[in-house]
Amino acid sequence: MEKQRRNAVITGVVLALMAIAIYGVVVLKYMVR
Amino acid sequence: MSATHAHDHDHGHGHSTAHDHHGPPAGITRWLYTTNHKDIGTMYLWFSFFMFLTGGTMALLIRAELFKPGLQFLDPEFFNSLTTVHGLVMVFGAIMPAFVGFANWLIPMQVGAADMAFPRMNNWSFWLLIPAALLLMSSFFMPGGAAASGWTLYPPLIIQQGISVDMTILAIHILGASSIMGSINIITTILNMRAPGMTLMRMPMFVWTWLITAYLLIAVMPVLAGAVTMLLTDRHFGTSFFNAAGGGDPTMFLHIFWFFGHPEVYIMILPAFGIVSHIIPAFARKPLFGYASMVYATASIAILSFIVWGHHMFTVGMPAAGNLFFMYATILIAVPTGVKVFNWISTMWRGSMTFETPMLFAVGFICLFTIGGFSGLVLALAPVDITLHNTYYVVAHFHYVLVSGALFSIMGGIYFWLPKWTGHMYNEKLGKVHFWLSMIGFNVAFFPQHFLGLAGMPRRIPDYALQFAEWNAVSSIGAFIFGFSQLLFLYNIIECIRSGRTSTQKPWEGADSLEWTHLPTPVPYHTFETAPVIR
Repeated sequence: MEKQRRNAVITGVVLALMAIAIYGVVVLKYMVR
Repeated sequence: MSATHAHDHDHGHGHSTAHDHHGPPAGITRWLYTTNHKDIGTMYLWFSFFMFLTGGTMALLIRAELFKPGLQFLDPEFFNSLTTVHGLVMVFGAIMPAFVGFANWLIPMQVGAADMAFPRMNNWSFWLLIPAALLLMSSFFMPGGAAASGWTLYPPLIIQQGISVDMTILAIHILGASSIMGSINIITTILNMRAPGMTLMRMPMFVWTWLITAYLLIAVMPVLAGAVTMLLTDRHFGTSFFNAAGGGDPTMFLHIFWFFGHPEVYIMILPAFGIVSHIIPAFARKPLFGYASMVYATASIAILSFIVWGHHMFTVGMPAAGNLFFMYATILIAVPTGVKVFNWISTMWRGSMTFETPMLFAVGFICLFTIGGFSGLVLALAPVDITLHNTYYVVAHFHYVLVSGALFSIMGGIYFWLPKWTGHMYNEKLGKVHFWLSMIGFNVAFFPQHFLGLAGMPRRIPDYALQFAEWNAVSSIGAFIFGFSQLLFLYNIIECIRSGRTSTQKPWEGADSLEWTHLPTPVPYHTFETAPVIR
């Protein structure tokens, strides 16, 4: 099930990027104020 | 990271013994290196139980001090540390890891997967908890004692305290990273590893509630991380995000914290809804009433949780329009919550009900969580909250939601799935004694706190005026009954694991999710090596 494995990794990476982006937005929003 | 996968070929339903060629490795390495979702689930659950007893001991110290007016045996600064760390330990160390433990055990079994999507990351998620807990607990031994600002870590007080605050901030960062990795694992497992035929709208409610909870976690844990990072830079790197002396705004911290904090409340209650949605149909011997509406109600609660944070800060001086917005938005949450409560009641309606221990906890949950919900509605009213803010009424409210809500569902869930996990039945009589002592102890401890709050007793104080003496004494007695009755729970679990009588595959007649219908009891070390086909 290579396809399932690939889809799982893509989902995981997208979710991780989402979390990092939210953290970045919160901190940057107040740093540039 | 590696993604495990279920085989798509079908050799009949359930576990193929032909592939069951090895069990767990022996010794400590089994637990240190494990990538098995059941082992990791077990470790999460034991960790949370240990933290529950630790946080509970702090609670009993608090109640012992408050048994009568005047200072008895705790230094006021230490008392403040206790209320702070009790809150942090219970939220991040007990309730959340317990639900992640349930998720690890149940989600792969309920969706028909072999394991979680990222088993090695799963191991890491758990083992990160240990250094975080050690950091948090050892901060008591630092100069000045543990953080004493309340679990909400409000500036300016938090900026002025010692090194223990830095340890707490680091612990929160680690716990947040663990939660985010756990959530990524859960979402990926649910979205990618369901068995053939397990469509989204066929998933068990526990899986649905965790899918939504995991999205909430990914959305708000980084917000908390951002807030505490800014606290750290305010403390050590000369920034003034929240420091009024440097042009910052302490109120801004409240906004950011509660933008995390209110969804966090639902992170701690949505999986509880999922657990109760399994127990009630099993013991009413009827399918869950209104499955689709349960799913939509869960999603609605999650979405609304992002627009109600201001109800925690009605007294900070927001414009009246702001207060009104947050008041109405908060009241709106009663609608999907009511849908859930009515659905559980409708499930029970004309069912063939029996009241084994899990069902007692589930019915206790519905009654007491509803009381907590109603006191939440009282507090949602801005004019009322301005009077009740920071009083014991708030303490009573959130303990009704988190103890008789989240914790009762965890206890009910443990009794419910213990036979499946261990292969043994727990002692039913002891379970019922545990339930009734918990029920009585809890209500005696927390119901009088409504009266104390209405009479004006502030929270987080080690001493109080004489007129509050009687109900505080009653509350402390109830707390000790509740606290010590948990030792029965511990004994019952240990006795069940060691010498409980053998359980059948499906000890609960009405249970119908995959782990009961497609897997033997106890569940083999490797779950579905052949994915079941759901028809």
